[in-house]
This record gives sequence, structure tokens and C-alpha cells, in this order.
Amino acid sequence: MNRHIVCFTIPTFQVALARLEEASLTTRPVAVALSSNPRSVITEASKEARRDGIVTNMSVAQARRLCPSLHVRSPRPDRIRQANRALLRVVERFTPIWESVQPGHFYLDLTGTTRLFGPACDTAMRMRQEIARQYRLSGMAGIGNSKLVSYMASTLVEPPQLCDIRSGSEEAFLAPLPVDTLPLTAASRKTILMRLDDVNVRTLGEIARIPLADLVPVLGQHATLLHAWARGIDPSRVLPPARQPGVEATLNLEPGELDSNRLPSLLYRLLEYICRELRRQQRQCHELTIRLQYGDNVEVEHSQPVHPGTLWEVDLMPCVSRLFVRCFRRRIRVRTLTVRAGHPLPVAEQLTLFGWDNQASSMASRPACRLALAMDTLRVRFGHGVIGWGKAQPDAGVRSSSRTF
Amino acid sequence: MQAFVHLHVHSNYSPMAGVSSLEDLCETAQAQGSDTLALTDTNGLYGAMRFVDVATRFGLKPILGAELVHKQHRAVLLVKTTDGYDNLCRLLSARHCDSAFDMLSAVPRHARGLMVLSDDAAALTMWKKRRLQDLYVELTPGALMHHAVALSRRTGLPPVATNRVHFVRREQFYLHRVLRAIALNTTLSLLPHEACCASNHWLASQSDMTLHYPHVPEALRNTRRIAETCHTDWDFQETIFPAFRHYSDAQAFAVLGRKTYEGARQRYGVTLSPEVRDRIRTELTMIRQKRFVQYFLVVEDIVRQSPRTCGRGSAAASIVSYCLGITHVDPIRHHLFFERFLNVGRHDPPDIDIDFPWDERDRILDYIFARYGATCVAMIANHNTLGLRAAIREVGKVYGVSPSELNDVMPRIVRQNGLDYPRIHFSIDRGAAALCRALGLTDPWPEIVRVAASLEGCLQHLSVHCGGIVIVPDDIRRYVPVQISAKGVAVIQWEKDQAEEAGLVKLDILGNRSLAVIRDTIEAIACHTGYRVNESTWDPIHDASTRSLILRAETIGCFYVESPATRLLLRKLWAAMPATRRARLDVFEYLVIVSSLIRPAAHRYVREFVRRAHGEDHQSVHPIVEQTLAETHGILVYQEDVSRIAIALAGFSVEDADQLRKVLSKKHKKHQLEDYKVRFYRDAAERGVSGQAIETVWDMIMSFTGYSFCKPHSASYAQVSFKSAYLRAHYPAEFMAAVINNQGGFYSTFAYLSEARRMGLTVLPLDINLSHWNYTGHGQTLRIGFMQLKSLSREFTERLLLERTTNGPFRSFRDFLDRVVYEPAQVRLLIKAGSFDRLAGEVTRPGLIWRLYATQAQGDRQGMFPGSGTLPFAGLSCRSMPIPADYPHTQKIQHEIDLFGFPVTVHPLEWYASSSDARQCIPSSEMHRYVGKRITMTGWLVTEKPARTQHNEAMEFIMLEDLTGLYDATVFPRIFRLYGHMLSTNRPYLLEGIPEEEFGAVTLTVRKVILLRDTKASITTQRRGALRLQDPGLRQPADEVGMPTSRRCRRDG
Repeated sequence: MNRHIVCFTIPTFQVALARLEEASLTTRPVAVALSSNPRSVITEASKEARRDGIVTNMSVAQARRLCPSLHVRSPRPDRIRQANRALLRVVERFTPIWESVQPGHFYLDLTGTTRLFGPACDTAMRMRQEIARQYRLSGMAGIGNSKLVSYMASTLVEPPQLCDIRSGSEEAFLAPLPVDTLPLTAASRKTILMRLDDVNVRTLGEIARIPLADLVPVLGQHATLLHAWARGIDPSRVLPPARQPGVEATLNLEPGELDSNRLPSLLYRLLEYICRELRRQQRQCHELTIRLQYGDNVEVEHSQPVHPGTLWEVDLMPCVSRLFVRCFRRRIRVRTLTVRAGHPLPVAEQLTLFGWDNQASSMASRPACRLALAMDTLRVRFGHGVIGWGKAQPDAGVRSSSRTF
Repeated sequence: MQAFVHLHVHSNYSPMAGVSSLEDLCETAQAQGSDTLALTDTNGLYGAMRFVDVATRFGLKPILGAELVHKQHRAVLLVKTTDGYDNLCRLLSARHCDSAFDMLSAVPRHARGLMVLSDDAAALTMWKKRRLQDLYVELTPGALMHHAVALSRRTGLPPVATNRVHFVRREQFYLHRVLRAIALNTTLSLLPHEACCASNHWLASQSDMTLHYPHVPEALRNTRRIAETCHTDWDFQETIFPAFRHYSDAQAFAVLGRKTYEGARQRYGVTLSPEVRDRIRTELTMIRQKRFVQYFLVVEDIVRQSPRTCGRGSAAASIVSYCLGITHVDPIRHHLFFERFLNVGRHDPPDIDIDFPWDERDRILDYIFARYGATCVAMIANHNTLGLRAAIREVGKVYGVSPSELNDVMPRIVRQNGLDYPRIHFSIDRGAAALCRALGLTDPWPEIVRVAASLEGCLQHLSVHCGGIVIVPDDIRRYVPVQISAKGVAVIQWEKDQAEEAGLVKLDILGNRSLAVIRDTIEAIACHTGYRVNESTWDPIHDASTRSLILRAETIGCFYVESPATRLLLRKLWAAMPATRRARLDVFEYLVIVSSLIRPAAHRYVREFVRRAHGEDHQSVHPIVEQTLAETHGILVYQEDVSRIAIALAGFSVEDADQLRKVLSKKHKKHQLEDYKVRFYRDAAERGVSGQAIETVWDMIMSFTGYSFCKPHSASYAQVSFKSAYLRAHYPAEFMAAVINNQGGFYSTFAYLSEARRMGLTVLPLDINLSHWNYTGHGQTLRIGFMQLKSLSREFTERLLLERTTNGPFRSFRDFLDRVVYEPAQVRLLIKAGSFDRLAGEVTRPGLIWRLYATQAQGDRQGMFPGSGTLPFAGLSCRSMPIPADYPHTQKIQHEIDLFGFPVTVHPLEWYASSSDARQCIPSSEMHRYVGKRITMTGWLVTEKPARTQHNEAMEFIMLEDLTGLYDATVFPRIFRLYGHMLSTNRPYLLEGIPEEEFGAVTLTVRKVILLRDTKASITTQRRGALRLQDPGLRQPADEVGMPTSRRCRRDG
């Protein structure tokens, strides 16, 4: 059956949200950075800003030199999540099969919805109009028979345009497109593009014309995939919404933190949040991951399986300490800390045959766990900041020396 | 007199541990009422000579010593007698050089004349058992002091109080921690506690120290007792000469005389003139009197190891040096005075500098070590201290600043002249705050700059001086501690100034690339033509073509006269000189003057010199000056002019005048120079010289600070310049190839290739069958060598060249792959560089790479190593393989830039030809027609030379080239403030400005700078021609074409 896949994108989503809140930014150069500190890096830049040479990962100071009238806004994760959920509510009305790649960017599988909503093109248009009307966010969409074609189509238009690639014309559509527009993974992108450049193959049409056997020596294992893509063949599916695969908490540190005594405290603070969330969801963590983003945007991540699964700070704190030592090996300030509890599974509360306490409840009866539960209760009544573990207080430790001289 | 004396003190000569300078320590000690101070840097006497000097200046008695630290043992060793000094040097040398060094057994062996202080129980117990004298238990306030007190009572060894001083003031502990964090490559929070000293290890006063020893008052009294026992009357006046073959002085003098007269007969002919004989006799007498006989023989012995050397420095004024072949300039013919090198009143030992071809230098050093014994020879050290720039970078790392941010901020600080801010604002705090305010730097930068400025001058590590070597008659480890450098060379712990102050005679063995250029050119000429230049009779000074080339200032590639400043001066000197003067001038003599005149602080006298050389009227500063400096038109040009003018104008003695000359080139000269200034002003005024004249002459003398040359040195250089110019004039291809091959010239390879094209040479591309590793010049062609391919391995290239030489040229690409063991990535480079173009036939470069990948894939499948000779390339279905279209022209150029570092087949400005046309740019060959009119020119920036005006404003002299030639431009402060940040070498510019003519030389005074890449954006929308540069098929837009930049600041010219 012919598939109808829509790739819907709201470009520079965070900038668009900032402009919703401040109408005066509409035609001005805007960038998003963790803070307006000159050492912060740009994570998103509007079209007007890009025109002045601003790109992502550039420091705010450098960006301001290039574009003195630049408006820098900080990201608001809660607002982004809220807006993304709102968009999904619109999308869900048209299809149950959608995949959110990142906030403001979705794939939708409209296959089989023609009799209900009309042609995919019209549905995408209605969806775009609905989003624009309800949320004043302007998006663009590419429509094709595969994720690849719809994505490539979406890259050729600007909001509020749509690009519909009719079935059967995929190869002709893709033929003139340069190879570097392909959505390649970061790991293989550099090698593939370098090798295609070496043999002077520049467009997808050229790839399609080369016999696969000749392409294999150049591209190796990637040859088959690229050859199929070049001919408009992409069988990959739009993955239906999955359950949240883990509980994650992130802390932004501006302008960055280097103190090896303070950083673990901040991580414990994130762990407190994670554990509280796990207890609320009655799930157990089976893998703990720590990710540090350094000031030069290098990310270091390490994970450790947790066996048996747990939802208590007292069990996970040693694990956090070990992972921190493995991650913190560079002499550069840390900009972002992330703790993630992976593979969270529901707490197995199997009753015992003879009425003895099961493992989970015996664990929970430990003093540290009872203390954690009591703290949860206090937080519910008096707010999150009312109480915390001593280890999670960054300034509780004795500083090794004064900074004044 | 104070009872307590600090006997354990570290200065900033303790590598990456001590914080305070010697001046700071001595000043504070003096203020506290001390009369004696010890210096005990860690494992070294790095600052011993300077400490003696500084302490004496502050009225303190200097005790020399060191803290010997090895593994878990430590002890403070103080010099009690001169024998003790020798032993300390030997002990420290063993600590650094002997891999099996055992401190517990080594200290007793060398303990004679040393006082030993330690709290190391194991060491003290053992040394006491071995009946070591002058052994003390060190008590330092802190948690562990009671252990030391108990040890003292248990062993019966007397206690002594110290505070293990690492900094002067208590608050400097933080700086110490930062220093340790830098040394250990860590951050402050990760810095181990045991890696630092305690926070109370400061230069505490006697009253503070007394508070800590109520229970052991004898510990305080013992400090005084030790201080009075130690040696403090240091005298380093004796000069230590090398010994030649263990000859007695009389034997050595006889040999020297014989060799000198033999050499004289070779240089001047069999019959020596009375003038030569007299000169030789006078010099030999002086050499004998000053005990330099063996030194000359040693130098002569070393020089003989290479057929091509350049003896320079003041030694070139000696006819004995000339006759021995140490120098090659005839001192009689060029009026060089021996007294500049040696005179009766000269106390400091003059050194002889010898240049060898740079690639022969290591061989010569090996010879010296082998010939004179490894124990008698060591290299001079460089003290690598934390300069402000390095300190900011290192402190930034301790504060966790990312490398990219450091790379972004550091150039801005340098551009802002930020390294001078602490000095300009007379305070580190104010300077750091002002700098960060000016650059908009937020936290933690103000603190980084403040800490870095406080750490400026701390010793990081030793490195090897580029050529300084010391040879002593017995054991070098008697005189100074020796370390082993990373390259395995023995290095003394002093830099050249301290070595000289200690009486060690230095010999400079330096690498000179131009000597290698001359050697390689002569070899290439012999190889191509069969004619070998006879260097013993070679006289380039009187060659008409060479003189003409120098008169035209076409000296790019020529030793020492190729910089833009020198070439501009040469042009100004000759171009507008009246024909009558020009006809009778001596080009060599003027070149000697020019070589000396181009120095950092003398540019304001250059113009006046040119004016006077042209015969224009000038106002005499003083008749004595005119008379003394008649040869250089009344301008101080040579180092010895300083001495001569000080004697003539202020009545200085020969010794004092020579000392003044010497002080000018020293690093730590502020105090001495102040004294000389006062004396010069006073004495000259007493002799009736007007105040204005004194001031003018003193200003001229001050232009010799930094570096400057004596006439013999300049004459030696000028002779090498003439030889280079001769080869350039007669064998341009071989010469330019040698210049590029030896690298290290003033200009980039790209600039030399451009010059080669302007000289009429054809630059040929890389060819797998014709290119060699080096560039090769022959006739009118210059062939690029494989060395220019930045990522090509030398080993692979030598393999392919060997195969080519053994079995003949490669017949095809397939033949190449079959015959050479290769790495695909290397072959890919060769293909992209066009090496196979002549062999490939109809197969394009992408087609060749395709075949390479196919071969590699087949080899991988069959488990064969590609190119092993067993891979049947013929088995591949090559005929059916695609032949893709060749790379577009623009991409080929980009490949050239990526691989060679510059475009080879086009001039980069050709990319911007259309934009230049649009603005009606004037070519450089025509700029002299537009003097005084505002014009626009294009230019590829070749070199920049930052400079400062008298008001300390930044400006820049730049040299650019366009499609017709080179031209110089000046960016004055106002324009530099606007556009300075845009200027960078290897970038295309549009310059608006006014050509100005001075002494016949035309330069552009810049009014506006536009980076051509920026201008093109607007031009591309209007002009079709430029659109081709934005070929959508290209990965990298053509407007991004640009070569890697470099911001090298050259000192000469």
C-alpha cells in the first residue's frame, strides 16, 4: 500500500516561542543561549541572526560582535515541553502514529486516513492551519511516501509552505539534491561525504545511476542504504509514541562549575529529584547514567547498571559518585549536569506465600528509606526546597581554601 | 642584630613552587631588620648569581643553598665553604643526572663544607651514624613540629628553626596553590593537599617566629650561629677558560702563533705586509695577556669540523680569528677594530659566536661533547618563566576555561595591548580590572588576569639555549649544577647572563639556515652544470650583478636583508641618492650599516641616516659626535659607537664605556642603566656639552636596548648576504629551491613561490616521476617537492622514491600500486595533488581514487596488504569501473590549498579579479603614478610588522602582493584602531589609501581596509563574473577560500 508520511517542522522552535511571548522580536535577530552571559553558547538562531553569520555553538560574545542588535533569550524547558504537548494534541487528532524527533519536529504516518480526512496534503495543510490558528506557530511540511522523502521535501520549503512529492516521482525529485542534505547519522556522515567527494559524486541522482557493485568499494556497508535512498526507497517506519523511556533531570550551570567538591553535591540534588519522581511513579531504576557537558560543548556520559533495581537515594549515591569520577576527567568547567534513571520498571510487589515481608518492603523499612519518605511528605506539604540531604547541599562541605588573596 | 635568620627560603626560581621574586624577598627581609638571608630553591641553584647580586644591593649577606628533595627524603643544604659550594653543585647534578641517585648515601659523600638541615628521621639517623658534621633538625611551625622536637631530643642533634618560606606575604598562599595546580595539570579543588606547602610558610618576621619556639629557644639561636658560619663573601671574578689538549699555556701559544701565520699566508699571500704582521703581533700579545690562547685553539678546532661557517660577533674584528678561519671578514680591509673584542680593561669574557648550517649543528655539538669530554661540557640553559601571556593561559586552564575560549580571548588581549596593562596602571589589580572592562570580559576573567599577573616571572622549567655551550678544563659540575634536558643533553642551571657573571666562557654554536641555502645551492649548481663555486676565491662583493641586485633591493631570500623594512631602507638609500655619490659608494660598507641600523628602537634614526647619506644638510648634535661617527654620518649605528661616544663626549674610561654598551643588552639592567645615565649626564655637562645635545645622544644610546650589533658582526652578516645575493642573481632556480627547502626564511613558501614567478621562473606541479622530496630548481624552472604535501609521510615518500630510482619511473597508476607498499590515505593525497595527472591518461583524479578504493576493498576481502606486490590489481574489472567527471577547477584549487597550504596553479587574488575590476584597483606596478592621490588597491597580505608610535599607540607596517608585484603599506594608529582586527596574513584585502613617496620609495598610507571576502557578497549579486565563485555544487563556497593564517611577528626588519 502507498504510504503517506508527513514531516512537519516548526523551524527554530525556541525562537518561535520567544517571539510568541514578545511580539517585538518578530522581525529582529534572536538567538537562544543558556544565559546572556558572554561565555554562553548559542543553541538556536533565527533566520535574521543567521544572516549575520551567527551559528549554533558560537559564544554569545562572538555573536554579539557579529550582530550587535542580537536579542538573546534563555530556553524555558517547561514552556518548550508545554508547547510541544500542545502541538501533539493537534497532531493526535489526525493520526495515532506519530513520532516526535525533537520539540516542534514530527513525523506523521497518514496512511489509511484519506477517506477520513482527505488527501495527506490537505490533512497536513489543515494541521498547519490549525496550529497557526491556535498557537500562532508557523510550520512547514513535506509529504512523501517515506520518512526520507518527506524530510527532504520539508527542507526545501519555508513556513508556511508545504511540499508534496507525488508517488512515483520520488527518484526524480531526489535526483538533483546534493548528497550533503541527506539525514545521515553523525557517526557516518563525515566518512560518507568525504568518500563521495573523493569520487566527485555530488547529487543523489548520480548515486542512483551508479551500479551498486561499483558503489560498494567506495561506501562499503553504507552503499546499499544510500543507493536505495537515492532511488527514493526508505522502508523505515514512523514509530508510534513510546512510553517515557526514563526519568531524567538536568541542571544548567552558568557560567560553569569546576569545583570537584561542589559538582557531586549538585548531582546528588538531581538524584533527589529523580528518586522522588521514581517513588511517585512507583518505578525502580535499573541503570543510572550521568552526562556532563563541558564548557567547550564536549559531552561525556557514563552509565552503570543498577542491580537490583532501586528507587532510594541511599542506594544510588555511591553509584553517582563512581560515575562522576569517570566523567569528570577534563580541566574545563562543566556547563550542564544530567542524571538519568534508565529502564525504570514498576516496583514488583509480589506478595509472599507465607506472609513474610517481600524484598521491596524490607528495603523500604531501612532508616534511610523511611527518612526519604518522610522528606517526600514534608516536600509535598511545604515545598521542594524545605528539606534536602546534606550531601546535596553544595556549600555544606568545607572549602579547601579561600579564594581571596 | 636579629637572633633569627631565615635559612630555608624558596624564590620564584624554585620551579613551579616559589612565588616571590628575589627583589621582593630581599626587600622584605631588609625591612624586617635581617642582615642575612639564605636562598634554598628546590633541587637547584637556578637563581644563585642573581641572588648574590640582589642581596648585596639590599645590604644582606647571601647564603647559598638548596633544598634537596628526592623520593621521600629531603634536606636543606647550606654552603659553609667554597668546597661546600663545589660539593653542593655535584650533589645537585647527581640528583638530576644520575638515575641511580640515592640521597641517603650521596649526601655523606659530598657533605664536606655543607650544613645539613632536615626533619627526615630516617635520613638524619643514618647520617648521624655516619658521623656527618653540621647536622641539624629542622623545626618548622605546624602540626608536625613536635615530632621534629622529639627527634632532636632523641638523637641529640641540635634543632634549628625555619619557616620553609615559599612566599613573602601570607595571602600569597593562594598564588602558590595556583602554581602547583598549573604544574600538576589539575584544578584547585582536585589539588592534593600534600602537593602544596602549608599556608603559614611565608617570610615571617622574627617576632612572629619567636612565638612558635617558647619551648626550644635554641632553635632560633642556632639560625644565627649557622648564618655566621656559612660562606657569604662570594667572588665570581675569575674567568674559567676551556683547555686545549691539555697543552700548557706556552705550548698553546706556540701552536696558536704557528696556525695564525699559516692562515695569514693563505688569506693575504705568502708575503705578509707590515700592517698585517703588526696587527697579528698586537692581537697575539693581547690574547696571551688575557689568557684567551686555549680558547682560540678550541674554537678553531670546532670550526674545522664544517667547511662552511660564519664567525660573527665581536670576534670578527680579530685578524687572528680571520687567519684561523673562525671568521671570514678581513678586519683590515673593512676597518674593524680588535679592541671591540678584547682590550686590557675588559673584565668580562667575550664570547665567540659561530654559525653552522642549521642541519649540521647537532653533529658539531656531538663532536664537542665527544672531543672535550662529557664532564667538561654542557649547554647553557634558558629559563622558561611564566610570561604574562602564558600565565593567563595556564591560570585560565586551572579555572576551567575551555581551549576555544582561551584561543578567542588571548588574541584580543594581545591586540588590546593587554599584556602591558598591569605596568601601565601601576597595579596588578587596577590593570586587570581595566583590561577586562575594556574587553568586556566577565567572571572569572578579572581574577584570572589578576592571578596571572602576580605569577609572571615564576620559573617553569629549563630549556636548552639555542647554541650556548660552556667548556671548562676540569669538571663542569664543580662550577654549576647540571641537568639532563629532554633531548638528553647536559644543561647547566643558569642562563647565559648568570653563566657569564660566574666567569664561565661561553661559545655560541648556532644553526644558520642561509649557510645551508648557500651549501645546497652550490651543490645543485655542481650537479646541474658541473661547475663548482670555489668558495676560497669567491668574491661576490665585487660582482656587478650582485651589487645591482642589492641596489634594486631585490633581496627576498637573501640572508638578513630580505625583510620588508630592510628592503624599503635599501630602496630609499639607493633610489634617490645623487648619482655622483652613488657612483663612488661602497655597497658592502652600506650594507653593513643597513644590517645594523634595522633594529627595534632605531627606526626614528633611519630616516635621518638616509637623508645624510644622500648628502643633505643636517644640524650637528655636537662636533665631537660628528667627528667620532663620521663613518656613519653622525648617527650611532654600531654597538661600539656607544662606547666611543661615551668616551669622547662624557670622558668615560674604556672599561666603563664598554660596560655601558654591555648593560644595554642585558635583561635586568634597570638599576645599572640609571647609574650610567646619571654619570653620562653629569660628566658630559662638566665637559661643556649642552643639555639638549646630551639628551639627544642619550636617546640614541637608548635605541641600542634590546638587541643591536657591533660592526664586525654586521660585516660578517653582510658577507653572507652578498653570497646569497650572488647566488640569487646568477642561479635563481637553484637558489629559490634551496631557500624553500631549508625553510625558516622571513616569508612563507607561498611568498617565495610568488617571488620566483616574478623572477621569471616557472613553477612546475608535483609529479610522481619527476618530483623529489625537496623542491628542485633547474634553469628557469622550479619543481614542487613532496615535502610541500603537509600530510604526506616522509617514510612513504622515501619508499616510493627508492622504488623509482631502483626500477625506473612508474608507467601507470596500476604500475605504481603494484610496485609500492602504500597506505591508501597517502595515495589519495598524491592523487588529489595531481601527482598522477601525467600517468592517468583519460582517467580523472576522482576516477583514480575510485580505483584506489576498489583495490583497497578487494585487498580487504582477500586479506591482503595492499601494495604488497601480491595484489593482482589487474584482476579488478577496471575497464568497467566508472570514470566520473574531473573535479571542478575551483575544487582543485581548494585541494591545493588544503594539501599544499596555498594555491599553486593560480594566484589567490585571481579569485577576486572581478571585484577588483569593479573598484578600478590600481596595480602595484602603477602606484608610483598616483602619489598624493587617493586610490584603491588589492593585495594579498604577505607580512605584518606591529609597531608602536612614540605615544605608545599601536600601528602596523604591512607588505602585500598583487598580480603585478609587492608593495609596502603603513597602517597608522587611527586607521589601525578601526581595521587592525581585520588584518591577518594570507588574506585578500582591498586597501584604500594614498601612495606617498619618500627618498624615491613609494608606500601606501592606508585609509580604509576591506576584507575582500566581505565585499564580494554585494558584488556577486550584480556581476556575473563573480557568480562562478559560488558554484552550488561545491561543498565549500569559493568565497571561503583562504589559506591558513599565521600571525608571526618577526623581530628583524
